[in-house]
Amino acid sequence: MSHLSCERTGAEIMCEALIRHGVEVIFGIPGGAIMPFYHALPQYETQLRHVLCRHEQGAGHAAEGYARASGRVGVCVATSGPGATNLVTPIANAWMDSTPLVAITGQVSSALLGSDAFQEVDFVGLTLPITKQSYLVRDANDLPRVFAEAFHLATSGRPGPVVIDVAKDAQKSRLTPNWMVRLDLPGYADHRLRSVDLAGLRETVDLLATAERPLILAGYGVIQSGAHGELIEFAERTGIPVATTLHGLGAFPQDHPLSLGMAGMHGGVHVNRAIQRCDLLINVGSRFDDRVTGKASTFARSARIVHIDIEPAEMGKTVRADVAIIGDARRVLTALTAATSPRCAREWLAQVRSVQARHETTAMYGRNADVDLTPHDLFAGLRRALATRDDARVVTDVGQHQMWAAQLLEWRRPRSQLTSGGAGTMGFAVPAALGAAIACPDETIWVVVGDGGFQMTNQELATIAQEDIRNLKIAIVNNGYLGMVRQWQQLFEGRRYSGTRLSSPSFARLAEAYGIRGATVEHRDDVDAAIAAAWEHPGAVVIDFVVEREANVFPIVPQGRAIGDMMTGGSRDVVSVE
Amino acid sequence: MSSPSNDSPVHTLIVKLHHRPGALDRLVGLLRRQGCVVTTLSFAPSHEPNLADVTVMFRGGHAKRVAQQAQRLVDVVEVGERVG
Repeated sequence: MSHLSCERTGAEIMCEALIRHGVEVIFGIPGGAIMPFYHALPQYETQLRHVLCRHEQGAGHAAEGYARASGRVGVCVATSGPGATNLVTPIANAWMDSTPLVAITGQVSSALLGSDAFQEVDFVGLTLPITKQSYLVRDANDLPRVFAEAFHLATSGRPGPVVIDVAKDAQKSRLTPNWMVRLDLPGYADHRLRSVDLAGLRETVDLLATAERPLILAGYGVIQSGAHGELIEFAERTGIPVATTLHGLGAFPQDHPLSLGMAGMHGGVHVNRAIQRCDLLINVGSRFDDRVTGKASTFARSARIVHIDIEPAEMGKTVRADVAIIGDARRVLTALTAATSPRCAREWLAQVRSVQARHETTAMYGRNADVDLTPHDLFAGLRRALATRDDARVVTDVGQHQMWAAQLLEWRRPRSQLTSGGAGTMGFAVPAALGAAIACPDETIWVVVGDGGFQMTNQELATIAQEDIRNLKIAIVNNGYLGMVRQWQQLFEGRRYSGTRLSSPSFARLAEAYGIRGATVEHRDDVDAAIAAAWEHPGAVVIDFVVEREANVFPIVPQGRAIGDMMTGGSRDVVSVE
Repeated sequence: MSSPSNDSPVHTLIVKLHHRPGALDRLVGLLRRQGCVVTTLSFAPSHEPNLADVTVMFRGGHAKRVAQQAQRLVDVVEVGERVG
């Protein structure tokens, strides 16, 4: 076995580098320029599991799902040219959602670079704006350092994707690797290692002492830094209610008395109103995305804003920060809790709760007697099933079902909700759930996906079948439309349903064709039994829930408006809830 | 994105870069994404090994955000800005 001697091929060094960096699973598809790597892979099969996907986009999202479920780096592999370009969407998705991802691609031999060779694409050039860093490796001697830098960059500071593009001749060359490498990153600072900014901390403590209507907004940074315990301690010590972003769902348990729920375009009325009324907003680990802020200049207009984030470039980017604390959420929250006196904001919380009682999101979803199955019947059933289990996670795609899941399910623990947020990538859910199911073999992964998004990556059902993934259950919210676009067309474009009607195959029979159990549910009375049967079935399941066709997501803030300007479902008018 | 007019202020960004492939591309790409029009660009190896000094003058864009986003680039070691 060549890997027992000192000399290795570049491809063997790539495999060993992955193992050295703790990688156990990789998702990919072989092709010409990455063949030396695949030739080496069987030597390491006891340490590196390779999951053969059906499309590189699926491999990339699977690696993202693996990363987001486990908190570890996701790794995907593709060949040059079209194999690599198919990875662009998951890399962009990982960039927008700060997911640690290492994408390894084969490249044509270095002598052919720049000659428009077969399957040559400048992948480093293509991915420059959507990666933390990208490497083209022509000399295999560089591989140990490049892998060390890539894994360090992907996981540290604000995590993100890194591309390693390796020329075919570098994969084939033979050399003795030097693993004693020094990271060559003179411009890169890991802000997790910085001491907490004492001046910002003192200012925040002073603001906390006088605030009457304080509010915490928790984002994915809380989950990334493992700070959910520290967030509970801080909220309980100060009595401050906690709202979250979409990615922040699970950062604070929703069965906690201080939990308010999700803010933003489809946030609760009471949450958005609280943001517009609060006099102190403490943002922990959210980047003030426009889906959270609405019209940024009007966001939290009465508040002093404390922004805690590991990424200095987020400070003041969209929303002003009166106090900016750059650092790891966990360390900052620990320091803040220690420096703050116990207090409570009972009167303020009571105000918020009274608004919530009048504007419960669930109450906005009325029932039309002629409809056998509304989306909300399905989500109520799923919520009942999930209420009794702490061994399940939910992966959602992008669109109406994503927002219904965010609003109507109860999120109690970090990493229990996986979704595509910043990029809004339809087709994310099925492959991401495949990755999550491999990362968490003792848990059940539920996919909630629309009929549109399902058909963008459903070829990964073959991967699920081939890998014998059993802990994965797919609920298709099938309304025969690209539903969120249709909803916007209905509400904002005079019901002109342009390009949004979908006709689909029988999803149950499609699943059966892949050797996966399929079922169809058309009536609310059958929801609970179908979910229970899927849970008990020792294999993957696809359930096609054929739901009301033109149900809408409420509340909704029209794009570009202040987050207090909402359509609440009772009327199509936009009303101020501030 | 409309082009900035000729009488919009000229900003100067002074950047110390890790001199390796792709570093300048990333900086120039960032300026394009932020809606800046480069009027002058100078690039020279620094007296410090493996580093380079870049001075960019540009119109348009949001100067503070450009500087912040430049600092975010892994190969950028130091950023200074100047208006006028």
